[in-house]
Amino acid sequence: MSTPAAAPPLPIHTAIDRPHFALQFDDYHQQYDACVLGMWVFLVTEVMFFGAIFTGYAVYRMLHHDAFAMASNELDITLGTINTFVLLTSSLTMALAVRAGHVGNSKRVGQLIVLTMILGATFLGIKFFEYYHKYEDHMAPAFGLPFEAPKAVNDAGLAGPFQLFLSFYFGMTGVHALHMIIGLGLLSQFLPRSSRIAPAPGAAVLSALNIEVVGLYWHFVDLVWIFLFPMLYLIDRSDTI
Amino acid sequence: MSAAQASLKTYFTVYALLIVGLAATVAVAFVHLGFWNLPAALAIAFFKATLVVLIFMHVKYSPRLTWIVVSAGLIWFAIMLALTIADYVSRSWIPERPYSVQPTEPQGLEPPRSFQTPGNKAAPTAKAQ
Amino acid sequence: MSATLEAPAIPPATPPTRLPRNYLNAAYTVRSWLLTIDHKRIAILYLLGVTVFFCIGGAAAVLFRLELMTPEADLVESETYNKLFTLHGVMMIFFFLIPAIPAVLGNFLIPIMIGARDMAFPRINLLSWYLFMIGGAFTLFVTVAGGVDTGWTFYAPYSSTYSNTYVMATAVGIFITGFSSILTGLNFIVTVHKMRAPGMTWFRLPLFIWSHYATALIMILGTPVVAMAILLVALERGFGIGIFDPKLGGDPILFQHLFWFYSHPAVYIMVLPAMGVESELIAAFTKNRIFGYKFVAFSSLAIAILSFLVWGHHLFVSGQSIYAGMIFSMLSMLIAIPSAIKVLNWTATLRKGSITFDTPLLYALGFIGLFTLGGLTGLFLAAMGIDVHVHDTYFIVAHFHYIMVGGTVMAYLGGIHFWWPKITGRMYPEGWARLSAVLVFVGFNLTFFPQFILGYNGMPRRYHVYDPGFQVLNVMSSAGASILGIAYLFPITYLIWSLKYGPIAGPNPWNAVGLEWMTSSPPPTHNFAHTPIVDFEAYEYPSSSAAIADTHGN
Repeated sequence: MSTPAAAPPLPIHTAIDRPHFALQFDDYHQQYDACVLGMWVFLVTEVMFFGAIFTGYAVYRMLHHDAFAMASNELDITLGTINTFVLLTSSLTMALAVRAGHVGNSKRVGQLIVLTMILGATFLGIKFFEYYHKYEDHMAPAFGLPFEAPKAVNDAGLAGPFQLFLSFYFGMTGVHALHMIIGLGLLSQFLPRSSRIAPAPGAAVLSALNIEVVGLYWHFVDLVWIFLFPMLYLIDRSDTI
Repeated sequence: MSAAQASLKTYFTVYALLIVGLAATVAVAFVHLGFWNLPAALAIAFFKATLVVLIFMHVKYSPRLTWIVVSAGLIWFAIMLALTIADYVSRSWIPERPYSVQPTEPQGLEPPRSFQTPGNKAAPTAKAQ
Repeated sequence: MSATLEAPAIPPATPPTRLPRNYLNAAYTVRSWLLTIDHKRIAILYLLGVTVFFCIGGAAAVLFRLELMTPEADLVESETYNKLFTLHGVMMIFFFLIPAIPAVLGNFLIPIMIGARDMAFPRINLLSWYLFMIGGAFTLFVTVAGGVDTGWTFYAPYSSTYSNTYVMATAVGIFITGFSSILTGLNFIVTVHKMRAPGMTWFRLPLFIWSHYATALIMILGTPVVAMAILLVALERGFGIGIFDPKLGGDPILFQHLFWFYSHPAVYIMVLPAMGVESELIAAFTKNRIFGYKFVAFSSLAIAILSFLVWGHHLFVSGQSIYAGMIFSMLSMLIAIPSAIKVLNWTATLRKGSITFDTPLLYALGFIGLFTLGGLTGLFLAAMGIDVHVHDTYFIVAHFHYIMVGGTVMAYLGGIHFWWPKITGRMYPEGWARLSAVLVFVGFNLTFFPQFILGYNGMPRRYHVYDPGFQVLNVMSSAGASILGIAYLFPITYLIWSLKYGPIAGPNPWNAVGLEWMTSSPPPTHNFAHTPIVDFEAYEYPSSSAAIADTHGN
């Protein structure tokens, strides 16, 4: 939604020359409001998108509580906590980048965006390490890979729902990771621009809008994880100690 | 609308609260609360999410329309979750033939038992005799 | 030209020898079309797309209606039959009915009706057309490669595990098209909120805008859910991740919940825009302000909101809890209220109107009758007792075709005729148009009314071998379908003909009120020479000053 960085080329140019915002808008404020509202509406669709899989998760957790608890305890809580920490920190750097964009400090924007991207990449790295670990433990229920539930689960006759949990784990974190990758893409596209075109007149306000919009997206991805983490990693941890 | 911006201090405070929330949610998970583990985890998650939405995503400083959009997302998710869960919760409630509690003696021609409902429990026939 | 109320009075003096610059003759290259960000050109692109998909879906219908002439399987095998009705459903629902009115008429008219130069996000608008076409291409591939036999509903676990047809490709196609729909809805919402011309308050908006706004809400809130449901089926089928697999303890009914959470509101994505068109047509051809403007406006929103509370009536016999069924049954009945408000207000608008029976009004009147019949039979289906009896019979088929074909397609055709002079600058041939409107109405009723009787007598849907006792009604239905098929070819033919030979229309051939009639036909690229200042109410016809005072006095 990084709408109009520059006025899009149109078949016919009208007499009105508006260098700093797209032609369909009357002024910069209208464009700003429209873009931010557009991002929010998009985020609502994302809420419903993730909401659907959360609904499925809730239903299955209710139906197969014991198996879900056993499977949740197979996840690496240390890595999960570190990852949450990393993502929350990236949210802070993103928020600061947005703020720097609004006050027109484009050098600071560049630094903070780099930092945000490093943190995002770290998150993905840890996530894929966890995936690999699950694959090695034969707990990746996809592509017909070997799948073995632990003996306790098999003895309880819960191998099926155990696998369901891991399906949800991979499905939910996978879709989340996909959003992270898209977020990194948005940020990277945005990174050179924010530092390079700053001197052009009006570009500073524009990049403030772009950062604001991308920032909203990034925070949303963070929000999803805030819910994913306790839902996936923290079921009935107390019973295992 | 871009004018109102939180101060740096606010951002760092929020960040600190988020980290505290993270620590709390992990810690609470290891305390045996039985049923209440889930509500506790959800409450902390909602607390963290509210902070992010209000401060990091500037909703606190946004026009009413943004509030409406955000709440629409929440309400519709709640509708989906509530009505779906309602089905799963109440599926086991189907009573075992509640109307066969008082069996009536077979009296001449009457519909088979499976068609009987409380309304047509062969009452007219009984009255006629 | 000034955008005040006197504007409609300006007649087209003489057809100008050289057409003024407009969005059609602004540029002629293929590139100028494929990379256009003009909402009007994108609407034309959509028009081409949906027409192609409509023809494919219609061809499938013709084939299986032919097959259904006889009780035996003589024309096609069972598998082919399954693929045909699936193709018909997928094409018609995802690629025609859902995008038809919003993406063609909505795209064209929304910015003009609110006095904007374009959508809020023109490039996203173009992107959504490309997504639509890419999704369509997947489905076309499926059609050519061998079809898919799950029905348009993709119920798990058949779709996720057992079907041996091209489920994945279809799922990907529908997933992508879903995003096209989401982006269109997003654009509508932001445009209506942020792009209105000065003076265009919410209660001066045409009802077309209100109903499209409500439609956009459903697109935004519902489509992501079906996207996720289909994604889960695709994950299960393609990656072997079990989600709905009963062998693992999964619950296939969960799929039905997620699917119908979108797909029931999707019915209102199809019919709400049709209701918007209907309001415009009724007002323009009675020269009356729509009776109870605010009630009609808010009933659109009420339908959009209620539509999300009723999906469980598709699950009455699927193993859903009986208590959930009762709640859903009750909520489903509620939808009748706002729908009835609309129908009653349209009929009240006809009263004392100066009615001219031009083609668009013929379609509009057809809409009222057919939609009412479809809506009332919907009440039968909302009642659990009757639904259990007629579930999965032709009664259902007839019911939703009365809503979708009798409602949406009639309104779509009426709208296309009404705004054709605005879109192309040319009038269509009125005589042919009236003839085809009548033919569509007759053919439609002959096709689908017998299906009510068939269904009530117990003929199940999706079967192609049936009891010989049903044959008479089936032959009637097939005969009606062939009339309907031919009747649909008429508009396609004469509308194309009119592009070259139709009389020049002028800015306001219907003497209607509304911003779209105050600009030239076809409109210039940026819709208006100057941003209009709106100082008049919606449907401010000379006869309706009292009605307007009524609305605003209270």
